[in-house]
Amino acid sequence: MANYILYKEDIDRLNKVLGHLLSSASATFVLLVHKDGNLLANQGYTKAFDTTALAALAAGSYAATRAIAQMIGENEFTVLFHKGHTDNIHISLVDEDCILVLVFDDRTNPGLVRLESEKAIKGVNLILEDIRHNEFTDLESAPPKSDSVGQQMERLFPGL
Amino acid sequence: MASINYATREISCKIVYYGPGLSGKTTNLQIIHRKIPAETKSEMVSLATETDRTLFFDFLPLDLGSIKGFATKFQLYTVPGQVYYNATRKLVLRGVDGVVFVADSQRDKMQENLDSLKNLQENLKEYGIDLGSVPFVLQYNKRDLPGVASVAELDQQINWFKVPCFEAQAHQGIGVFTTLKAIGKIVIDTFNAKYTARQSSRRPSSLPDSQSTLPHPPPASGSAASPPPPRPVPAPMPFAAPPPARPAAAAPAMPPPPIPPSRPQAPPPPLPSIPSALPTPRPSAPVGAPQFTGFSPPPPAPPAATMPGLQPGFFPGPGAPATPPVAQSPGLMDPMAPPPPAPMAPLPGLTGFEPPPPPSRGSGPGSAAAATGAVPMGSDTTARKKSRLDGTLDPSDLDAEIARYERELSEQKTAPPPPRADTGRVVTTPNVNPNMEGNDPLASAFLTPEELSRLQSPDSYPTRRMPLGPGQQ
Repeated sequence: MANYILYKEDIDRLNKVLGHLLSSASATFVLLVHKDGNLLANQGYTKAFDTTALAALAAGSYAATRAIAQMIGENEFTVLFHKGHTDNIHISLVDEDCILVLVFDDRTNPGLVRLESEKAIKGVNLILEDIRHNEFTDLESAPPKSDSVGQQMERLFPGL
Repeated sequence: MASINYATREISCKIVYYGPGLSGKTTNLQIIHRKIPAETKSEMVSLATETDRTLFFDFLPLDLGSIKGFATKFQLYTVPGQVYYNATRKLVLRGVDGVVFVADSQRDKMQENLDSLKNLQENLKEYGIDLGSVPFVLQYNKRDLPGVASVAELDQQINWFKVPCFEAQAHQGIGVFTTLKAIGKIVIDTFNAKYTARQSSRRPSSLPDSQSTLPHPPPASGSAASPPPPRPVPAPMPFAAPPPARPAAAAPAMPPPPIPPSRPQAPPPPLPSIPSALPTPRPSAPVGAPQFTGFSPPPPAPPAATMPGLQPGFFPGPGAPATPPVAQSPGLMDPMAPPPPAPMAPLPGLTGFEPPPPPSRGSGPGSAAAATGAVPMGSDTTARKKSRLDGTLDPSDLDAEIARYERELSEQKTAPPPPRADTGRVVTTPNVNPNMEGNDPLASAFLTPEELSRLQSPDSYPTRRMPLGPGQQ
């Protein structure tokens, strides 16, 4: 499975589309999540939320629902909608790898969220198609070595 | 799937704790969560039953902090161990970067260990992952219990791939962090091996220096979709002079139209001396032609005498007298391509910049190239992808896409509502059924007794469906 390599301009482009979606749909925040549970990009008011866990759970929820879909003969469901008292979550399929998670409250409506999500997904798809072709660039941006990781773990968990 | 984010200088890897039920997978994560320093501690998410058995997964993000400028994060997952939760186990394994198999050391649990290991192998195979190739360590847990199998015995039974194994008593925290450190190192080593393999595959050492600095060497024809490198093999960096570093953190805010500077971009190649190769040079934009203001020309290329290779992102600088300036968008011009049969007309749609339609996934023929009016280079798909990789079309694509959305939205708001075809279909439309009695709209849905009796007669269908011939009457 290919690694995802995101450069600054990729994030900028994703944020641009997600920001546009956020304002047009009047959502609280929006996350672009890989189906593995990795958070790729987010926009909106996310400080009060643990977006990492939210991304993992959304991916898990989507994966579970996909398994249900396959049991009834569907490949997968393209839209999930969880309605709460005031806050709701709209999860839509972007492509075979990613999902788009929108959290919104009663100041907007699911129809608008769905409409704007479908529009934004087209733009996100363009960017993701480019991201799949990203490569590592040069030595100076190389990821850290395992020795450094081991030392950092020693610092994090001393004597364990 | 490990993801590396150069914008936030962040690496994220997924590690899954696998094993039979009640072997101590969740306990491993709980101990790790308990020992994480408070300043970096995150919530541990457990989807468990009321009896604290894992129902879906446990999730613990582990932030190792900044290592050489990269924030390294491990996402630790566990799976439910019970046999009947295999569907959810399979889901959690998606995109895994490393696996810790937590085995129960008790002798009577050996068969469960073996079954779980086989199940792990099968589930990974469904994702196209070979257990022998994925970062993988074993943890022999519950070493404090009486009657446990010896390490040699466990090695012989379940350590099929001779991977590192560690004794542990997870509930006391013994061996938990040794295992975590080991799998973390192996995952990062594998990540680096992939990095090295990609570097060496992209920059073959046989290339001269002038070509070895090209981030994307021009592929041979027909090899646009080259397969990924098979198995990462650590290799020394083949080139001496590293290419220009990507200014990830210090990059300024992205100006919309110009090409993003930090994407791996081919430097402007030496200017080819090809006036004779072009029998009819492309005419420049006629006077009075609408000026295309969406793009600014890239920095001029240094002229050179030789032509080592041509890049799809080639654009002549102002110091190039051989090729007249062209008004269309840069990036998709291939100087080696045969010239167009007719002089290129002023590009349509430059006035006001008609945004191109969004190219559909799966690469329709010449979607992006046709939208910009540029000359397609060989395969349309290749040209589009390469041009996007070079960054020449990215901002315009997005701006055009967003502009189109906004235009559609405004048109929807301003346009008068279309007449609804189904307005009053039930109530106000006069019923055409002559057999309808009264004003009951539902009456048209039923047959009258006469019609029913006519249909029930055996010879009614031929006479109703086709006229009889003269001799048949």
